Amino acid sequence: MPDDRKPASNPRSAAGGLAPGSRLPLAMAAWVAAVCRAPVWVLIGAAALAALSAHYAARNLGVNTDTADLLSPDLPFLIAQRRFERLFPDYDDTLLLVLEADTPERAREAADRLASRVERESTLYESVFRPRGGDFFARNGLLFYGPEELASLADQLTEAQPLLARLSADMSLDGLFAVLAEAVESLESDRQGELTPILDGLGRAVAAQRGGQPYRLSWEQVMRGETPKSDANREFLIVKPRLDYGRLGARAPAVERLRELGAELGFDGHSGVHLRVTGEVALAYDELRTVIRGMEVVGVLALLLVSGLLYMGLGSARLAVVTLITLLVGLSLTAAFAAITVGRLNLISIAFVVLYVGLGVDYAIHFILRFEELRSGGADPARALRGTTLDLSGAFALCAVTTAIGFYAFVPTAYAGVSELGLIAGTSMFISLLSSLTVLPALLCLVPGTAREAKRSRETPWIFSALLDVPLHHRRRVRLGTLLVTAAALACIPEMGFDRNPLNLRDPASESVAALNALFAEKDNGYWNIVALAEDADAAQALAERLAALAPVDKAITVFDLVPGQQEEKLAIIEDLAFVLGPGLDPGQIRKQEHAPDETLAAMEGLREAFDARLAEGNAEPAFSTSLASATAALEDMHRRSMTAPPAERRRALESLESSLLSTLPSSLRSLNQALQAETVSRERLPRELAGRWVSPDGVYLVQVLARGDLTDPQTLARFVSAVRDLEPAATGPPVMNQGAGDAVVLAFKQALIWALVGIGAILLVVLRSVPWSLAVLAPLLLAGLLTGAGTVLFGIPFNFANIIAIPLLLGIGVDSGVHMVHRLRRGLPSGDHPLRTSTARAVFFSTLTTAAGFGNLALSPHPGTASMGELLTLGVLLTLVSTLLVLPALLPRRATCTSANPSARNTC
Amino acid sequence: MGTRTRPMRLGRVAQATVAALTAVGLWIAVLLPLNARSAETGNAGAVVSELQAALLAVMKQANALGYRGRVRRLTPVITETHDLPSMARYAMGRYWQELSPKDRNRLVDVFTRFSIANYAARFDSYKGQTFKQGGTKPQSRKRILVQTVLVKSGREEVELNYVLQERSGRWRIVNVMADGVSELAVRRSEFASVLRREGFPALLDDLEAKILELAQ
Repeated sequence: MPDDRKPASNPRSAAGGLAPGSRLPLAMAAWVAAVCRAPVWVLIGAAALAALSAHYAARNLGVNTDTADLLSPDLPFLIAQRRFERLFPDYDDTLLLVLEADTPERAREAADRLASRVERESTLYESVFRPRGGDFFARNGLLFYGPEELASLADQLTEAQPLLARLSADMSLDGLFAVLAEAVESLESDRQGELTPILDGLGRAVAAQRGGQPYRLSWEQVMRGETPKSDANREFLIVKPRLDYGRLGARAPAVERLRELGAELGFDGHSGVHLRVTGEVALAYDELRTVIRGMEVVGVLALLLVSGLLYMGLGSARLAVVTLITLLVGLSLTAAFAAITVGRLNLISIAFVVLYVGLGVDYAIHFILRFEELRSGGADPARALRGTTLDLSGAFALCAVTTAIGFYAFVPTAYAGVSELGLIAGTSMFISLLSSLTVLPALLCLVPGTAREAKRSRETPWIFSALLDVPLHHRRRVRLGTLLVTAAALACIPEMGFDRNPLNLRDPASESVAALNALFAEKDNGYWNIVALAEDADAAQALAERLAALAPVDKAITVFDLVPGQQEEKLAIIEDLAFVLGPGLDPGQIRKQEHAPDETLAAMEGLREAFDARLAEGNAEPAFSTSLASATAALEDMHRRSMTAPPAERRRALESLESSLLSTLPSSLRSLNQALQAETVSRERLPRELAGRWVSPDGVYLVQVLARGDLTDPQTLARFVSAVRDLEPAATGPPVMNQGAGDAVVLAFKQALIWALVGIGAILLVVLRSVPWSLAVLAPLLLAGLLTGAGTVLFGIPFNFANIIAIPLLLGIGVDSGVHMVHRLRRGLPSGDHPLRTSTARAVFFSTLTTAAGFGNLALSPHPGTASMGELLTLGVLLTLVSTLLVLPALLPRRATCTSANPSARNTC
Repeated sequence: MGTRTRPMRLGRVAQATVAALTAVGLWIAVLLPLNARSAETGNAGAVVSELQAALLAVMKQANALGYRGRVRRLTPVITETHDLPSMARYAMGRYWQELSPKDRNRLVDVFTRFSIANYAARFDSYKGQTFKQGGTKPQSRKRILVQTVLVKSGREEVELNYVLQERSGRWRIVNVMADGVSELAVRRSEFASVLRREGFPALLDDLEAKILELAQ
């Protein structure tokens, strides 16, 4: 870092290739002069080229939203993933439908209905699969209980038999009330728990009826004697859509149709059933939608803000428009370049637009401000243009080369998303340079404005002037402060993290993300499992056993887990149970007697009296007493309201209560009967659609590994992945992919940053021929980088797959600003100003602010990934600005900032 | 299946023989052609008729016989028409496995007396009741359902369905469903309740107490 000692070489003589008198600036000046001789033709040519480019890009530039393609296909976990996808295509590109209902019966019935509707839409969907349902599990579900569990379930069902049988004889409110009255009177004290679910259900049904809410008592839960549990009320469907990735938005019809079907079937929560569409395909679709929606808002806002800032900074609408035109021409050329070289943009490389706007505008701002500076000094447009070009083209070229090196450094990394971005953005720097030295001079030639205008724009009051004096007045303090802040920032660096959870990048309010987060919140980790492949049955079982023994692993599942153990014992229990329950519980034989409302109300009173009598005995268990008391209150309330209601309404109220309390009984009995028909399950007799998901046609076995704990916790995820991969390196699946992608990205950025710094440093050394001056360019960059890293820790914006692209951009801006400042300082200052009042400082200030404004808007995007990108970029850009304008001048030797050519500024030195 | 209570006293060879015979019996039952089975359903209906005829006879002379007389008259009929050891086993559910052979015998004994006492106490008067026999339905796993209706005085009807299974060469009742309510389910729940709270000896005491209660 340069200090107060004299720089190694005289700034004036060491300007090398950048000096106004050297070859490159002269050639550029000749070029600009040539442009100026026929500005109209140049502009027509540029407009035609831009239009052609834009047209070509619109036609040929696709967007690939498959996040797996962001990475290099040679990464080991991607090779494993491809093999898995080839062997088990059923798991790839699917939609997960999550149905939640107030009762298990309703959930199952809803899943049945939805499945049959989806099956009919065969043009959109290839297959529908019920991972925890379907005939196989309906029939053999009881075999998957443990023997003890099964035995106690059998006891429960046996106890419920008389009640169910009586209800089957008269499935009406009257029947229910009569049975309950009897049961309450005769119930032994240790069996009071049996009735609690029904009593509670009664209370809830009356409350729901009063409020006009849907409610259904689950007889399945009554039979099991269990309190309602949300997990049991969830059903899953896995739908494989027919996707044609050749078309943009291929996912839209498949996802939208499912949501339509959900709405048609009334699964929007009002009916007690709620459908949520998620899974890989829906996540990608929703993400793309929020990204686009975000980009629309952000794009318009960014354009407005950037235009406003340009107007402010340039002091003229004419110049702001000139800048925007220059920007647009370069942007269309860059898009065409991307279409030709890369062909398809991905979610990362699409950010070239943002990068281009951020960096491309810089040259134009610098050029215009210097031009105006010269004009205000009395130069005519042609001379001002020549002067500007001579002054700046060297710095521009150096900026373009160094920034391009920063971007090209990402090309060789394993992160294909960034590698492509590096190629496009790096090249765009040259395109931007070309456009700024062609389109911009042509426009300025055509509409140069007057010298008076230029003066006026120069005279725009400096709101920041006091601030800008700080580094020169308080050199020591700024240096000390910088030292302290740097030390503090260094302490924060070890805490820097990378968030590998792609769900955090997505809009948590979108259906697909909300559904998954709900599952993860309940530690249902089925969606994010690791998969491993085994070549034969023995290997699969051995692998599963070893994997299951790992601490972070909850269980490892193979096809053999579909064959329950201890079947003989369990089948004996089931057979016994079927016999003891008898043939009385046949849903086909349910009868319903007709009762007049008055009779029903009398039965209701009878039940209430029975409850009262039981309560009066006072020997009930506390829990039972509570249920009994609230059921009594509910009955009283229902009775009172029914008595006062007009007949039609009374009938309706009773009918609604009846349906709340009894409508799930037939389907519960049906599933019970099905479950009682369990038969021996063997590997060979598994249904093909089930076995096919576990064994590939050529006999490769799948092992699914489920994590223990909360997978949204990064440490849990990391432990899970590394434990499994240590044992089975060829394991894959979403957690491995996320973890692996994170590792690849972090490595890619580390490598690229080192290459970029080495490359930029080398170029600076060659061009500036001075170690201290090269360090002067790099210092603010490194400082800004360090501070931004610390900022991610302090503000809780960890790096992620989206915002990490801030790094190359900050690199670019940092280098540019440093080069411009150093360049200006080395060339000496114009009369009567201190260095921070030059057009250069102003250009650095405004071009950086424009960039910050453009990116700051990203923070408003509904897409958290985009938003975090905006937050990080704004933070980084502002820190770069501070480093360049506040810290850099304070770090430079006094002599460099107070030249003899600048006598009037002495008092500031 | 019903042979399970007895082989305890037999030697090993005899046990093996019984097991083999049972297995053969099972095979034959499975392989029996449908017409052979339908021929047997007649027998099953006859078993139920035999029971119901005896019940009617006892009801008609209820007062003359008194409780003890009714028990005496019903004991041979009920033990013949019912598979009481099997019923006791089903009523015990999973607890059966935990019982020693001696306890099993004690349970079968008290369960038999309890069942007879129940019939004797319940059918204690005659008010013009009649039994109507409906159809029979083969059930899964070599069981048969015999449907009957008990027509009480007036028009009140109780649906009485009997499940029978074969034991020692004849159909025997193993479960009765009165209006769909399974007697075995009721018994099993009651037993389980006592067993959970107080254990097996208490269950025996409880049953003995209930028999005494029924006698009054």
